Amino acid sequence: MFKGSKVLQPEDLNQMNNIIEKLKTQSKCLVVLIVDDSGHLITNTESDPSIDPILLGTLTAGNFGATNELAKLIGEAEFTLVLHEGNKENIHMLAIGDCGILVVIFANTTPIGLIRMYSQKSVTALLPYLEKMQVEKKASKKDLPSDEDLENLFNW
Amino acid sequence: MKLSQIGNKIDPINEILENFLDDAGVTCAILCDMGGEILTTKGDITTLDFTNIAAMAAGSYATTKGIANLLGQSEFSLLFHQGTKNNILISSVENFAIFIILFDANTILGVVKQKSQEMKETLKIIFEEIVKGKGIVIKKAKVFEERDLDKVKPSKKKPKPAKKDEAEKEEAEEKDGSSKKFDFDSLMIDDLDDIF
Amino acid sequence: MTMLNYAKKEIICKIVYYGPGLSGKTTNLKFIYGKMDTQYKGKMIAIATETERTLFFDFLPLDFGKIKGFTTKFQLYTVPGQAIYTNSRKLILKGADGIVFVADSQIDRMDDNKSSLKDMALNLREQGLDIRNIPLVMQWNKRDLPNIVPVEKLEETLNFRKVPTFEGVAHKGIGVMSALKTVIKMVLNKLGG
Ligand SMILES: Nc1nc2c(ncn2[C@@H]2O[C@H](COP(=O)(O)OP(=O)(O)OP(=O)(O)O)[C@@H](O)[C@H]2O)c(=O)[nH]1
Ligand SMILES: [Mg+2]
Repeated sequence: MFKGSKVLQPEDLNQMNNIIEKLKTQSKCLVVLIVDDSGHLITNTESDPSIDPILLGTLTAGNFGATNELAKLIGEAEFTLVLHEGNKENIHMLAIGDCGILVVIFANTTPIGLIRMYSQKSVTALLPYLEKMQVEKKASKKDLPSDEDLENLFNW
Repeated sequence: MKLSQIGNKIDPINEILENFLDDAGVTCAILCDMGGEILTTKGDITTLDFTNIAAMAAGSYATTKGIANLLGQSEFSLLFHQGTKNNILISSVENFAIFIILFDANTILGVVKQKSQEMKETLKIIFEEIVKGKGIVIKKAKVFEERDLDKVKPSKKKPKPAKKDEAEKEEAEEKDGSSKKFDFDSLMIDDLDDIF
Repeated sequence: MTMLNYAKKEIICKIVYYGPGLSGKTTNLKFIYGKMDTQYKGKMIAIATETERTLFFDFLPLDFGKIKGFTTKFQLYTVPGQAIYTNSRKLILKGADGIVFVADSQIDRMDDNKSSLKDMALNLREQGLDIRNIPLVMQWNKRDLPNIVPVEKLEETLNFRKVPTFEGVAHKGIGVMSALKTVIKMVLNKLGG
């Protein structure tokens, strides 16, 4: 049953919702989202109904992926701070282990220090829940095709 | 703005970048089009895979633009990423080009921000001259293009298929379940019966 | 990777359209968007250059509504086919549950089809996925054009796994819905198996 899928249980989702609601109150940010490593939205805080959280999740996941690649390309393991400055709102993104991303959108007027501190705390609290979802480990290296396997496969 | 459109204006652009490197004290600067194609580079890029850097920066920039759209603000004018040794700053000159600036911890962010703002203004003037001089129309790089999708919406009246086999193919498609009301429910319930 | 959300009673799967530049991946998604009833589709995003080439990805979320109490959702992505976007292709493949490989039938695009397929195999591997068993279908697109490779030849050269294939004319919708439907079935069958 449901081979290879990630499973999210109601009680875990509740806990994650509590964590991000608390983050929202404490840091005075506008919206918080949790997106998994495939770009699927896991959950988000209530926000302006005109904002489509699925699209926002997809775009932020794509953006975070691109940013991480950029880090690798300039010889950094990862960026310690990812910040997008807009004319009204800013976005702060953090990796939750290698299972997902925490996205925090906040007003220009909110101090970044506050956002960083509470976001970091939330990531630590969220990590166990996201790790628990990852029921099946990725295929191990030896199960994946070798260069030779691939050569034989295509046979060109 | 494509490289082919810039022509001999590349010299003043290079000069502006060089001045910027000196003033701001950054390691290097890459200028690329909105799609990530390199226009020019300045500074020490010998060890860098700048083709891929530009392509990823363009993706990053386009997605933040999409996010800005969604949130109802014009754009995120500046993307800043801080690493342990190297930092990167991405911004655009209107819809003409994207610039990527790499610098290390010894450089002051405030200075880079201010100098890049100045550079942006000068570059903008040059790009505008190019557009005016050559009558180039700059289309915005698009993120949301739902209205364009009308073009491909199947027309209400089915055009007469040109060839007989094409007509047959279309008919087969319809039997396949892709008729006007695509009935996924009936399609999936069979499969999902097994699953649940 | 499929997410089974017991809290929201929801299944979400990811389907990626892969293939060389200009083979018609975005055209597939646009047609699906146009064809689907409003109740089944969300907003589509295309992150594209001014010349309409995909720059990062296209995204189309489909929602088939509640089936046996579970909302079943498929999120469709396309990769950018142009050579410079190799890193982006790798990113988009992450967590893919199924793939539609869109090949360009034109004779002078055969080499591009081959290198795109190989590129896909390597990028899948990098994401911990195996081209030998991931749900996959292939579309031989642009069958309406003059200088095209015969289907038998395409099968022989590209269809190394003997997966289901579809002759396509994407902008007319030929071979589009059938390819999608088949890959969806394959994904669901794998989940159930
Ligand atoms: N004649 C013909 N043209 C097609 C067909 N499918 C797509 N096209 C056209 O081919 C061009 C490229 O199609 P896209 O869907 O943008 O190609 P793509 O694979 O998304 O390309 P990239 O985004 O660069 O990877 C467009 O002008 C389409 O209208 C087809 O079956 N026949
Ligand atoms: Mg495309």
